[in-house]
Amino acid sequence: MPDEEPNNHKKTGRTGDGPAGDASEKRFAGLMKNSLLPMPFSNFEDDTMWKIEQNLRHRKNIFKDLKLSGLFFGLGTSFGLLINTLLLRNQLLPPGFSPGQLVLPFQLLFVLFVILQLEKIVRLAIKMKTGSGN
Amino acid sequence: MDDLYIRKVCEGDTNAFRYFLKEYKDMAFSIAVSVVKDPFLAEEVVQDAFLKTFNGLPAFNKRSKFSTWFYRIVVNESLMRLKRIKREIVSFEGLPGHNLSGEDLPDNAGETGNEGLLDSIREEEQSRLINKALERLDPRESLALRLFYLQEESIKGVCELTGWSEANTKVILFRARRNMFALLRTAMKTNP
Repeated sequence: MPDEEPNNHKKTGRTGDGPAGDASEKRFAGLMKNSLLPMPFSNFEDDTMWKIEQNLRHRKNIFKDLKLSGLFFGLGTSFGLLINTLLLRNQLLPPGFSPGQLVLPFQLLFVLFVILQLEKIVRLAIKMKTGSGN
Repeated sequence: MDDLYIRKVCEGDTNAFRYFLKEYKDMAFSIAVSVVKDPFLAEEVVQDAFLKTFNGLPAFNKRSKFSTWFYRIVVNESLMRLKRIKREIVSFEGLPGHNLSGEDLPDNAGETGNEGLLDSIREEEQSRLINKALERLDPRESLALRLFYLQEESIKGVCELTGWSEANTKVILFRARRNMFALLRTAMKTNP
């Protein structure tokens, strides 16, 4: 962006100063008042309201999904913790298995599932907040 | 008035949002078309801006005027769309016979004879000519002109809406005005 314009122009963004410049500026400002473009699409308001209502419905559905996801996430996590505890106490161990053989893989799997599901729930929450339809 | 309808919308009256559509659609369309230069794209941009406004209304902090906040959304949406479509908008600076970049014009190029030019444009022709010239102007220049003269924003206001620096805004306005006169002069020659 070159800055060669004279200083007085830079102050106001106008092309001329003095009485002639002022008159020209006023006339130009008057002319620019005619530059308002009315919305040419007569159904614009209805279309936009329809889009807004669709978006609202979509967000409500996401909210419902989010609540269900939270519920099942809580249930799943509690259930996983319970199994984990029982495994550690050797109460659920099938015969022939030692705790070391089952507990560690189960715990790893459990943590992996918790992280993956949590990430999905967070994504859903962000989607709801932004109101994105995608 | 805006505050009343903002409260209504926030209380769950979706239909109250029609007030904002009625009140701001024309200016929003003018801003969007200044940037994207296509009425259909501009309609989409304005729709998206209204949607964003509706979703963001509960978070609107009322520190600025609603119109300032809304027009900033429209400007951002328009500039984002322009970037996304990567459409080559033919700037009149690049057209043969319209070499009007700032460096090639004398300092008083926009001023000389402006009075006569402006007076000679008949009332009914003004709107058509002005909008045709704005359509051919660089997106930033037509945006600056519409915000400064039509929306009557101050230089600071234009900066706030566009994110440009004050010096940049003044230079853009200066060039926009000068190029506008040159375009009007050309239009007057071709359509006497």
